Amino acid sequence: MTLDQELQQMMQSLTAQEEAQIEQMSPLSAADKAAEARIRSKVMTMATAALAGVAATGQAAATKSALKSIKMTGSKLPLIAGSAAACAAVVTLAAVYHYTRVKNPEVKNPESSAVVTEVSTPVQTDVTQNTEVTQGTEITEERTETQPVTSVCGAVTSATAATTETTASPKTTTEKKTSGTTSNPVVTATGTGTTEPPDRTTPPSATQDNTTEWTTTETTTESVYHPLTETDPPEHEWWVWDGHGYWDNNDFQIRRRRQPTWETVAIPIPEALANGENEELPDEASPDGEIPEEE
Amino acid sequence: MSDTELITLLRTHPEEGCKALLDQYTGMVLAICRRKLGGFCTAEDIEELASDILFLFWQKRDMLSEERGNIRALLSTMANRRCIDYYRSNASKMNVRTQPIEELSEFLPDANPNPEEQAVSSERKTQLMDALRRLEPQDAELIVRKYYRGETAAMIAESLGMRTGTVEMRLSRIRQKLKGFLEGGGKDDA
Repeated sequence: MTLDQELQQMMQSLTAQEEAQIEQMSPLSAADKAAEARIRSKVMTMATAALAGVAATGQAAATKSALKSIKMTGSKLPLIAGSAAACAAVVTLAAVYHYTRVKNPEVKNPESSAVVTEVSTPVQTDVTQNTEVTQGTEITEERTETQPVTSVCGAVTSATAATTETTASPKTTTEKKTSGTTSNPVVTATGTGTTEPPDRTTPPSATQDNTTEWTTTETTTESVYHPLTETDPPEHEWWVWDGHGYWDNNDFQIRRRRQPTWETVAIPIPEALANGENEELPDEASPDGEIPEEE
Repeated sequence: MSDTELITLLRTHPEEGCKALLDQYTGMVLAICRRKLGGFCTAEDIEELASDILFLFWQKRDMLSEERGNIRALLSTMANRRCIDYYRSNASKMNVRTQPIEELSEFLPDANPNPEEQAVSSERKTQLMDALRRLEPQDAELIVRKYYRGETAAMIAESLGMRTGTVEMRLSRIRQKLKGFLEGGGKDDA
């Protein structure tokens, strides 16, 4: 082996200490420093973009969920595919979707006429965990047709499981019954808001009555929950968007509930979007959340 | 920062970890790329490749293990292999005869040397390091630039304001001097 080869091999197997000694023998030139700075800058840019890309992927997923939710609830939301305004609106809706966490307490399936009624009853006191009240659930179901009612059956299962889970967490619980009339609802909900329903699998009928009586028995509980956190909120307190949405001038209004009160939230929609024609929403949002260009 | 600390930082704070990784290892990766591909592609291509290697390593940060963490060795192996890939994928385009992979063995350090070879190699490396330390600073700089940073004679000449031929001649003389140090033991024949 020649000395040339030996030197080459040696340089490949330097320890950190030896490398430091070697570097001391020849300080970096300005050109070397500039080259390293360029590499650092480029890699940092790529890394930052990659990290942002992870966030964008999450946003795209939220957007996709929001789009599906809009389709499910049957809201007449005009979207102009490809416009920046549409993208902004969809992202806004996606945020609202996460904020309100679309979870309807109970669903009356218009096709099967199946109804689930749940009654919240204090049943237990757990002093050791500072838990005063938890809730039991009584469920009755009447079915007038033989249509499959997967979602309702799911609600029964979910309600039972949820009751078990909430045993240790609430601190104080109060019950309040409310009733009233809501105009133009898309979904009719009857019962309590204390248990987590399943995701709705059947869209509501577009020919549903514009006025429906509704009754809720609500249980409010103090807890620490931020609606933007990733994890599901405690079962005894969650945000609801009941699927109800309508246009008020250029604003798309939704109604959401944080027990025990209802509030209406306006989502500003850009004028261009509000005046647009109804478009079929894409089934799949692209990975970066973009909507295909309008032709 | 130790490699273990760096691995932890890369996992818990990827952005800060990336910065620390670059501070510590950009020079090493750039040097490897220059050594391997110095006469084969442009300085811009080498920088590009070094960037890709560092970014790829950062992307694979979740596969690093604190217990067996040796970033220097991993990054060095990755850089060497990427240089081989680069060479093989570009040699044909540039009408360079592609060597079979066995002939490219000098690209990679011996992964599993036997203990005897390792001892000899380690002793020889110590001798070479000692010989390097005995060189005049300007001679040592040429050796480091040529063999550690992987700069070509032309690059060294441009950087130091010399002619390429002069650089080559000086390198040849320095090698003779080093050989003298190695053969003569502690004797300085400079």
